[in-house]
Amino acid sequence: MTVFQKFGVYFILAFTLHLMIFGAFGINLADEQELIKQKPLPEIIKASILDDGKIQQEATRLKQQAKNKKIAQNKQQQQLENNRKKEQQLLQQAKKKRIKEEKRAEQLAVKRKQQAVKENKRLAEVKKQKVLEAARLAKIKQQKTAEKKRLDNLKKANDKKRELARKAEEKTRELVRQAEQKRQQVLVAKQQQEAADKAAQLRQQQQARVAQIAQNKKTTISVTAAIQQRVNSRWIRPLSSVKGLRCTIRVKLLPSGDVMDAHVIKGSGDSIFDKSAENAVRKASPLPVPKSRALFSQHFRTFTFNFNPK
Amino acid sequence: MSNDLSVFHLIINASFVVQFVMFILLAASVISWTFIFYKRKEFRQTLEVTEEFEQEFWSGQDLSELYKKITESEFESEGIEKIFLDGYKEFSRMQQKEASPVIQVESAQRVMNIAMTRELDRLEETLPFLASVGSTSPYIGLFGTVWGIMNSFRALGDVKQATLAHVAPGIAEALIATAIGLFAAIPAVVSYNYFSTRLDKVAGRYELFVDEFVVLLQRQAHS
Repeated sequence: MTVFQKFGVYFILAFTLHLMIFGAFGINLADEQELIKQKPLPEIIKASILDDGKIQQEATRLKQQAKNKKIAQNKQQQQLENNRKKEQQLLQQAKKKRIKEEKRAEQLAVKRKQQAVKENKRLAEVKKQKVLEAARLAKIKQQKTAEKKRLDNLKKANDKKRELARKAEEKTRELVRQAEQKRQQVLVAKQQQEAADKAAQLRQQQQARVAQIAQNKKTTISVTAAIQQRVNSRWIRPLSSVKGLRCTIRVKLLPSGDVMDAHVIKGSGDSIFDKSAENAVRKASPLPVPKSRALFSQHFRTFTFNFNPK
Repeated sequence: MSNDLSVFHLIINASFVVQFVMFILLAASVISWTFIFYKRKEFRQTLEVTEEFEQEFWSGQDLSELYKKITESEFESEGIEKIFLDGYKEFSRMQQKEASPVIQVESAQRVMNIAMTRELDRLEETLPFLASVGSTSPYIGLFGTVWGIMNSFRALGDVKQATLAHVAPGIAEALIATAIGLFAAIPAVVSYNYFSTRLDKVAGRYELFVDEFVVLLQRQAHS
């Protein structure tokens, strides 16, 4: 690191600081300098020795001064007199001027009168013109009324024509309307027909569904009976059980009829009997389930049946 | 001799010796102000570094981590950081040599003392200049003044009727030299006192740190 790199910035800072300080200092001193110069020097009183000759000289000088003063006063008075005279002259001139002015005013009055007469004449003329104008206006009015009448007539004719046209149009419109009505009637009839058709179809469908349901029920009953029979045939009566026992079994089935799960949900009271019933259901697998998928999922995916062997 | 008393005229019309004295004093003033600005910045920087480092040092982080962090930082380490670096480096070197704990700590302390002295020297640099400007420049200014007055009295010897107007410009010119001498001396003295106080404070702080660090190292060496 050279010395300049280390201190360069600070050196510049210091240098500017000095410049500023000396600048301010110099200006200040210069101001004071001026102040000193401007101070006024005190007046100096001079004293000197007097003698008699000088006093006499002074006296004669004073006398002379008094004389001079008198002459000056006289001169002033004369000047004042002159001024007064001049003023009087000025006053007379003013009088003359006023007389002239009055004359001029009279002349002006006469002129004004003449002008008034002229003005009156002009006004009369204007009046005449106005009358003429009124006449012209009346004429124009007449013309206008005539025109109006003509226009009225024309209008009436037009109205009539228009009326006729309107009537014709109405007729055609009426015709069109009738045609439209007819068309709509036809349409309504068609729609009604369609609605009736639909209703009939619906009814048919419903009937079909009811029939289907009835069919389903029948199938269900028959299938249930078949299942019961199959289970019964697989059942082996336990030695300990009495006759007339019954239980309810819930069975879970696959679509093929295979038994996934079977357990008693309402026992007979004899657990051995219940166990044997469950076993019988398992052994009866696959159960004869209906072929219809829908029916199977509706009733046989899980179903309960009463086991009631004879 | 002209009657104009403005400062510039006085300086320009002054005799060669007085002008020379004024020039020397002005140069001394500029240089001492340069050093004042420079030292001011240096001390401020040192204080900042010290504060930052002490905060980090006492925040309880691992010493080896702190060492790594400081060596990897982009700034050149200075002041208290430098002391820490030297001390820790020496300590770990002695540990590797498997010296006895007492020797480990002792050598670390010695190295730290050396680093501290070096750092303080760096801070002290240019302060002697301020001190000598502060003490000598009034004398130099006085020399200029005496010389100037001497000359003006000598000129007075040629004149039969002596008036104040004959002497005044010469004395005023001569007194400017004293004024400039004082102008250079006062800031230098004030700043020298200020900076040496600050230097003492910094030195105290460094010593305290070295002691504390040695205690820490002893604990680490004997564990």
